[in-house]
Amino acid sequence: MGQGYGGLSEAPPASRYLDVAGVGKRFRDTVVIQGLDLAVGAGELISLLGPSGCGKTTLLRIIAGLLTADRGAIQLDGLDLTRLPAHRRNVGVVFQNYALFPHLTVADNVAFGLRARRRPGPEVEAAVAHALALVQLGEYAHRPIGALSGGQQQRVAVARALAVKPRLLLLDEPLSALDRKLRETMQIELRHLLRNLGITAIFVTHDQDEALVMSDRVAVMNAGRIEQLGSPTEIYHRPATPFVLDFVGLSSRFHGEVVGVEGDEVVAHTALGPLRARGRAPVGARVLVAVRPERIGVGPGGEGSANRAQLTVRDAVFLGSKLLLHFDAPAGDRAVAELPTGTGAALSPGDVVAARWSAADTLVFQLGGPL
Amino acid sequence: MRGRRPAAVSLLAAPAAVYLLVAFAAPLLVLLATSVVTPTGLSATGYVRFLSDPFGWKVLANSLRAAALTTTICLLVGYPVAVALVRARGAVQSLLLVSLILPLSVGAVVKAFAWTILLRSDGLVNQILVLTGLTAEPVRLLFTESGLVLGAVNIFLAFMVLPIYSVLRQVDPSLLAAAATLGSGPLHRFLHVTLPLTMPGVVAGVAFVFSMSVSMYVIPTLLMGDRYQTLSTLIARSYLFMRDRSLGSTVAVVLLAIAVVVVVLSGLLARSPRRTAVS
Repeated sequence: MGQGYGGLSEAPPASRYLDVAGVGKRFRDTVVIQGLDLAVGAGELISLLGPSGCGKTTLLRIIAGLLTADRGAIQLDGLDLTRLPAHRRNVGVVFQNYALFPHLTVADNVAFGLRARRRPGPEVEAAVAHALALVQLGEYAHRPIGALSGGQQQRVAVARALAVKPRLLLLDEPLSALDRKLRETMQIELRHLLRNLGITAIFVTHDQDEALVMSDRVAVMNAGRIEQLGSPTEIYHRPATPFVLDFVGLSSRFHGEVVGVEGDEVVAHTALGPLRARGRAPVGARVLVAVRPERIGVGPGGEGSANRAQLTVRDAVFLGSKLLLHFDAPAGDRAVAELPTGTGAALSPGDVVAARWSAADTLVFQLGGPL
Repeated sequence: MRGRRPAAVSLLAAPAAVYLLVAFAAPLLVLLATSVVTPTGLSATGYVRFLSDPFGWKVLANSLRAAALTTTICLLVGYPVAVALVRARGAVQSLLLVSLILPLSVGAVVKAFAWTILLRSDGLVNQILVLTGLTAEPVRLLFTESGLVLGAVNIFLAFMVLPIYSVLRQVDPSLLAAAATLGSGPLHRFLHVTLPLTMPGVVAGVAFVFSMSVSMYVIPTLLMGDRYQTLSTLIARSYLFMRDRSLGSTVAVVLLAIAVVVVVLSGLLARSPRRTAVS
């Protein structure tokens, strides 16, 4: 139901350029999206990040008009899209498999949307040339699609979607089919391009690095709802739920019980002994205490650190610029630290090290329910 | 895709090649020879005779007209059927496929006979027409071209639907979704995405139905009678009743030429300059 939506004349505030309100969708008995709200500002780049099956692609298809929501409303720039068919929404989509027309040349693919809108020939030609120049494929205009590499096809898909000047661009795992090196280059290129055009865009991705690189804000999705919407730094440093903590980046995590509250800090009893964390939870609450691996210092020193533990190295993984240390931890817990290469002495499995980290870097999540 | 095949692999085609050579190519050569060999030597008089006779042109026109009508109607009726087949799911799809393929096991003779009963002035078709008030009086359908085309469409429809269906089901649905997000409405999508991508199926279906309906023999014999001649019925008459082997072989070669043109043309169309290959 459109709750108070439908007024076309009122310009929405810039932060609500796209307004998804109370959208729900189920396939047969499976709820794919449940009562989801999302507000996107004009010119913002947003990522929908989540595991497969979390509903992110379904949400994208609903915004594009390729699926109908069971309930909820979608407004774009003050226009109610909820009942508008896809071809009248002017919402561009870059598909995961690119969905380029195999029977058309590169230029004809890019011209497709303009011709569907019956734009005059010279205008189409100019727009196609402009769009292909944006993705640096000018000289490929007359090639058949099949003659292009994966990266080039990806760029044609972007050019085709941009050529019609959509009010919103949706990208469904746009780079997932490319190999890693190319993907990283394209992430930067694509972000740069979209930023320069000032276009509002939503990426769907299951790759956290891609989400962090590409977007102003990340919406972490799980089981049909948004668990947290925030800047990449917020998502990483202040995850709202254990799910976000686990899905984005690595972390050390220990189960425990709150034994004391001091100001804005809590002390929890864990397998490592008492750990101090910044956050709120009542005494007696079962909690998860977590810290990001690069926040853990190893070796002597750091007298001011609130949290200390003697940890046994289980595995030391060399990752080029950094060294990842996995420590022994009880079942359900995890202890991992990340050191810049060269700082730690040669560590090998079985070594016991002194680890330390501050209370301010430590997160606490109250766990509900039994177990 | 198109690699060089070792000669050994082409041996796999040898049994079929030998069979076709003996059972098909050799008699064909005899047929060709019969059409140009006269007691006084080689001559094209058979062709001159056939093509200078208005009756010859009439028969040719009959065959081409009936085939063109049958093919056109099969295409117009068959394409939507193929779309329905692709869209249908589960049991409905199986049911549609079975109802399309199962009738192929009933021979053309039986079906043509059935149509003679249906098309009679007191037949089911006329009963329905009168009952629904579409016509006041029973319409003459049997022994008319409309009746012939009606029967032929029924018998050949599957040969149009199946090739289109097999190509249509391979069209990536995301292409239509992409077209929609680019502002392309349903009709534009059909004309600029679906239809071009299914052209190979359409060409194959048209080639099947046209070559079968231009050479149909049983159906016109039963539904039209002796006063209407097609190339096939004329060939049969030449050999069986007129004992005119020269005329029979000449007409057979004309028919063959039409078939060759259809096959070659459709081959060229299917390999159209715009690439339809899946990357």
